Amino acid sequence: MRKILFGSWLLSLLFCLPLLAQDVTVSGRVTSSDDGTPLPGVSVQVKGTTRGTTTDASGNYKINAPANARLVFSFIGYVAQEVTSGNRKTVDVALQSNTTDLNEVVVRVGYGAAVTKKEATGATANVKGDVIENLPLQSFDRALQGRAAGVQITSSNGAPGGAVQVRIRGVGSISAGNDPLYIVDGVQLNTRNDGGGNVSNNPLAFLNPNDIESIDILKDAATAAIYGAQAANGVVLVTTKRGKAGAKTRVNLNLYRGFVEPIRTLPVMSTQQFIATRIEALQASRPTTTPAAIRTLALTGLGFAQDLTNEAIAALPNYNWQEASYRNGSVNNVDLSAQGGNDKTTFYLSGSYNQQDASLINIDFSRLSGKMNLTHKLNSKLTVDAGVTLSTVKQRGPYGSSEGTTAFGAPQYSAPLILPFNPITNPDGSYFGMPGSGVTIIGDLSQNIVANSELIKSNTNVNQLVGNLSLNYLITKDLSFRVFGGLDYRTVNSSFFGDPRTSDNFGVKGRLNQFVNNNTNATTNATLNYSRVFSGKHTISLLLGTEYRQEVNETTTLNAVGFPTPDLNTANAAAEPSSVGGAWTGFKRAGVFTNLKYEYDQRYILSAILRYDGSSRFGIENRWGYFPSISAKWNIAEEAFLRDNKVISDLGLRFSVGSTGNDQVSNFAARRLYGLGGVYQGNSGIGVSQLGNPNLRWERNVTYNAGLDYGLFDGRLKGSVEVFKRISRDLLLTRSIPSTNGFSDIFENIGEVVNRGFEFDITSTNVNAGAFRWETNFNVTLLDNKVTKLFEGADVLPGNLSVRIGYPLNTNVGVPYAGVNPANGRPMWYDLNGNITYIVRTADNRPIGHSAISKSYGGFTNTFTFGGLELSALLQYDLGKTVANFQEFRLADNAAVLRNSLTYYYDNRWTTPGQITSVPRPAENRTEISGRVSSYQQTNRFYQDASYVRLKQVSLSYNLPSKLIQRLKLSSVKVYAQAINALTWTKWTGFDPEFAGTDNQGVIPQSRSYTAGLQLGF
Amino acid sequence: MKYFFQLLLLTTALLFGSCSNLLEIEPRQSIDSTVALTTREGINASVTNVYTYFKSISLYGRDLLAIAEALGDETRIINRAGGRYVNEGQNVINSHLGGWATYYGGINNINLILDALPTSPFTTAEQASIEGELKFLRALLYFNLSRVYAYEPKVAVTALDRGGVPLVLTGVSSPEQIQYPKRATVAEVYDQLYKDLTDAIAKAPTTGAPNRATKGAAQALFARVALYNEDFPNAIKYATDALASGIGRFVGTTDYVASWRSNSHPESIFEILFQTRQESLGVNDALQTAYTTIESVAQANSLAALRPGTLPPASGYGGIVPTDAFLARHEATDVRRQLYQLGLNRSNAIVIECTKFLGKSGVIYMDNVPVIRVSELYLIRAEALARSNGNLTQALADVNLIRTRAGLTAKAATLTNAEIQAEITLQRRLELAFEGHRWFDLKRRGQDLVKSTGNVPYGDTRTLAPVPNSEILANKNLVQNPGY
Repeated sequence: MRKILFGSWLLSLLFCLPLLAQDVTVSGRVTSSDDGTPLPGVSVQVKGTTRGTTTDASGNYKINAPANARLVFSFIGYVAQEVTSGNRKTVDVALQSNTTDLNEVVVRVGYGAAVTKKEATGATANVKGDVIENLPLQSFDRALQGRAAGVQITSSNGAPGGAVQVRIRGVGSISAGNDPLYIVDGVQLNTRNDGGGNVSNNPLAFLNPNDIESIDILKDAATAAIYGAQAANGVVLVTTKRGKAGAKTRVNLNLYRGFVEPIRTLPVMSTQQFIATRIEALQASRPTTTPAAIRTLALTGLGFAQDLTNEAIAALPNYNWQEASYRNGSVNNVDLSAQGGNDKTTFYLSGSYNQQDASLINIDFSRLSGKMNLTHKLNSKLTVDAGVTLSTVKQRGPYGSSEGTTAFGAPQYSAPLILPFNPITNPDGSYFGMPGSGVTIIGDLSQNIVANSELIKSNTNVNQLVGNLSLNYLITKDLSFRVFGGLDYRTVNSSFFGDPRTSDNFGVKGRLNQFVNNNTNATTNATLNYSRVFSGKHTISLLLGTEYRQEVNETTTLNAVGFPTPDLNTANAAAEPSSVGGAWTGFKRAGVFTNLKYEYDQRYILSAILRYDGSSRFGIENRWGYFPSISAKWNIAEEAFLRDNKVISDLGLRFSVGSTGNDQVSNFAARRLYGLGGVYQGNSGIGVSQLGNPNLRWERNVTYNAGLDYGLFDGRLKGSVEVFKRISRDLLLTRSIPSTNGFSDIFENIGEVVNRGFEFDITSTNVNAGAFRWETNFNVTLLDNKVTKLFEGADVLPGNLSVRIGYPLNTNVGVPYAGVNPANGRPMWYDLNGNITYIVRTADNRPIGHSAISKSYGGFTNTFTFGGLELSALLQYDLGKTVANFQEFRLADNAAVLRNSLTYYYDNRWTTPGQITSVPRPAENRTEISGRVSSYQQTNRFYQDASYVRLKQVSLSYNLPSKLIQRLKLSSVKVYAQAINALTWTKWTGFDPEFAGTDNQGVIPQSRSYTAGLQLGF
Repeated sequence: MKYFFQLLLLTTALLFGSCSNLLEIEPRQSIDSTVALTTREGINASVTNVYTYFKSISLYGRDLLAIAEALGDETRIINRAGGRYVNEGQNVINSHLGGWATYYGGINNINLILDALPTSPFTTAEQASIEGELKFLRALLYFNLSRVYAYEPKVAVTALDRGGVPLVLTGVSSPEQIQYPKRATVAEVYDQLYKDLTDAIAKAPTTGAPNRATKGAAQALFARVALYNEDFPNAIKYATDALASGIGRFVGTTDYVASWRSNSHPESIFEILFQTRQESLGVNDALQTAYTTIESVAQANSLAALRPGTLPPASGYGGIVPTDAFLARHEATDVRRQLYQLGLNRSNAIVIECTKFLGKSGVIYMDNVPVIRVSELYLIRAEALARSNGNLTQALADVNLIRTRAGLTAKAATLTNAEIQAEITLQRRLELAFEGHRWFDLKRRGQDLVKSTGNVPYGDTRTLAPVPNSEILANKNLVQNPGY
């Protein structure tokens, strides 16, 4: 027996020898065609044999194969590829990601749970970390702009690292907050904007966007209801990068540098034009004075000699204060990360430095951050997961507020307004017109704003720690238990030193405002997870959890004046402390929740959520409430009749209805309170401060959503369509009451706002020919916002005329402008009856047909790839909102007061009877002398379409060929260049149409940036 | 289901803390309304707080003086304050006095204390004293509300009279107490003023002047209220009583200017105190900056010597300045003319400014504000006597007291009643200038405002301030003033 076996072995060996002799060693490298990065773990097989291997961490493989063998490369998430080796010894392959397979997109739905896109029953938007990688933007919210349907992102201002307004599916709340809930690795973030007022602070800026693996936005109640009373405005789940088991440790180095520049400056009148209009304005209000006397009056009023000749006027200088205030700045980023691990432990480590200037002098942002994620399997049952982000952010603020200011000393407000004959510096280089110098800057705007910006010291430091720790215990293979603790700790240290040389601080010999704020926000939860497949087709899963969150916020402020020299600027140097302040607040939340899910054969999915939530913010009678949701999905493509369809590769129909809550009101909004009043005779007083409402409860959102996920032609066309109706009811509304009661409002659950919308997104692979690939992504959101109920007897909110039943929020209310009377150059208005009048009455105010709420928004991305070269461009748009251009309101005075105006108003001003124009004649103090008139400068004149389309991002990158990379002993090298806010198309004539709110006066505008970078993988 | 959840919550509570305080958190910056006024300290602190309402910009902090003067005919506006006061100076519609919500905020705090007093730990005598003090303050608030938003009882034009102001006399500190009052008639408002002032005279303390409400202050205010009501006997009676109260010292000619340079005006019967640096209303909103570019008393005194050399930079805006006609109304020897002097260069204009408010507290942009002072009482009594054709000798004596103290000669006893009244009007304009009287004097006499930027005939829309539109919308019972 043994001999026979031995003999047959020998025999087979004999047969095999010639074969072995013909084998060649084929080697090569497998990369992803998406970004050229090496793919580790790709299976390489010789077709028709059992011979195979896998690629190593650098994507390299080596295999013995017969000549002319067919090699099959396959990898999860990529289209398998067959290559005939021929006589080649090296076969490099670029695998294309398998776009058809919706299963591969993982959607995180809260409390550690994740489902595939195919299983998801709710409306979600998912953005992969690599999409927002290396953008010169300090917080990930800004990077999401234009990339997710249903999510509207508006920078509040252009301060780097500054506040961003995120609105998911419209604005539902009138008096309470509209911000979504942000959760980073399970930690519910504090989104208080405690910047101390000196800088524009973004609570999300602590996180380096390059540390992000993915962002999942829960838009409807199907999944968001698990967060109950906090989820009404949507939930943004951020997952940071983690190590991967089994792969070689990957080290990534990112470097980019660049510069920022102002997007636009405004064309303003010259010295000569200003003098000419000033003369007209004075004459208009002094009809009986001779022109010669008016000329004298105008010239002397501007500080010129009264006998200045016309030639001398023509020779007067012009200084550009905008150019002096707006300048180019720099952008710098370095980050280094490492990720890897084995089957027991995986890790991700990163450190980064990011710096960016605004386009306005001395406004900047810098951040140092460190991040660590660690997962360790203690044994087969117990896993510990820990993550920590540490960051220190330093921002230098502007003079005045970045969010908008009318402070004369603030360049973001005053630069275009200062009269152009005022020099910026003296011949010796010192600043012109400083207090105490004996010369003053002529005009209403009499501060040297460049000196202000250069001399003040406005520093805000935010140190933040966000940490999470969880233990996951596998009780049985179907049942697991997880406890989680998260901490978000932040301290804000802000100080503003008003240099004693500057106008506002000269009199008090310098001013110091200091602000310290500590916020401790702790979340803890415990969840039980059960999931089991019965009879192969029935999957039942159950989540049961309980959660507790507590936040405490403390502030101390100090104000002092009287500094001996500008160089000493700590509080101990102050001669006199002028005031101190303090504040303390906090809230608690508790909740229990459950999610029951049933899935049949991947075809029918049903999910139900119920959360019972309590918040300390509400009235003692109404602290607790239920938040249910139910959702279902039918994966039609899985049905027998579609399974082999050549056109439709994916088709799913979703429906959800559910309820979520909003508790974004002040922490003690329900209480009847006496608070600190004023000081008299050296004593502090107390006064009644809040009416309170023991019945106050959350605002409730009921959201209906119907969605369709589609994939056609093997996924070359894919996307989703959603329709939704979001009813926000029992609004936490500050109901106006007559202030004869001593209060002007009371918080009540009254009113209703309905947002109806349609979302569409599509990703299409237009061309896929060998090395060339063109992919397009387009998304659009159409939104219809309407106030449907207010309180008893009110069809308009008394304190805010822009809130009225039947109209969208932020409806513009006014008295329409009727243009200029051609006979006399005076502005006219339409009264309530449509008659032309010179007088604007409060009673004539009515909705004028537009609102400051956008009707549609979205983005359009095109990506062209050719080998390692990639060109990508994102057009972002926001359409259909009309806002009063308040900045222009002050730039249209036409020498009515001593402020400069835009050349548009100069060019189009009324000068002669019969002239048809929209710009009234210049008139001193913006009004006619003949009593009972309205000011020329009515908001109504300045409504403008604030729609815009913007080339938000354009980038060109090149992945070096793998051969070259191998020679460099690297795993990837990418060089790239990109521009942010490259081009803007808009009718808006102010600095920038993108700002939050409805007043653009003194808002720091967005800037344009250009960066070039290098990304090295080791 | 609910029990199931409660069981789970109980488990949570056991995990994270005890059940009872799961959601308990107490504010540290505020006190619950129901306990705030149950202690002596609470009530005292709340009374203190009531005074701070008078410091607000829309009341005596600025507007009742500066904006009233801008509306009136003694001033012109230099537009060097970023457009501030310009519209009021030109009497542009809707640019007016205001403060509706501030007044009622103060009134509500007063009402709440008055409601809490009977059950408070104070003795009956202490309660009475606090009541008297608060009723004076409430009367002062209602009097000002009424003269800003409504016509005076005896001169109201029926066709234009939409009533006085709503009278709210009980406190509101919880939702069920919210009221939707209609405007009381002007007569009803004045009846209430009489009641409150009568109580105040009976109960208010006699000490604490001039910064706290006193019996003397109540008598003085009563005199003014009665004059506005053309109730001349009471105006005479209470002016006389107030003068006898011993509060306030009628200053002499030599220390007249000095009286306007001291922190507290010696003549003050009631004066709003600004004491600590943080109470300064700042460069944008203070009285000082409204009237002058000069930084301090010391600087005002030093300027003449510096001219025509280099002058210090301007501090305030100095937007509201006297007209040439007003300055010309002073006779050559009038010491009061010394209160008007050339200011500093701002926006390339150097003009004569009023220096009654100069940061006399020692802190820039912070001055005490005299509400009623002795000189006014003599003028009230003189006017009431003359207009009621009473004791003309006394009337002439009172007005001559003002004249001679100002360094002018006394008017002869041969003056007719009309001439005496004209002289009283003139002396009111000169003596009380920039203290916020002239606008209201024209209005209470039913007279037209005549000024170069356009006249405002009596009864014009702009005679009264607009009730805030939000109030009209929030309270269906409230009627807007005509024309708005």
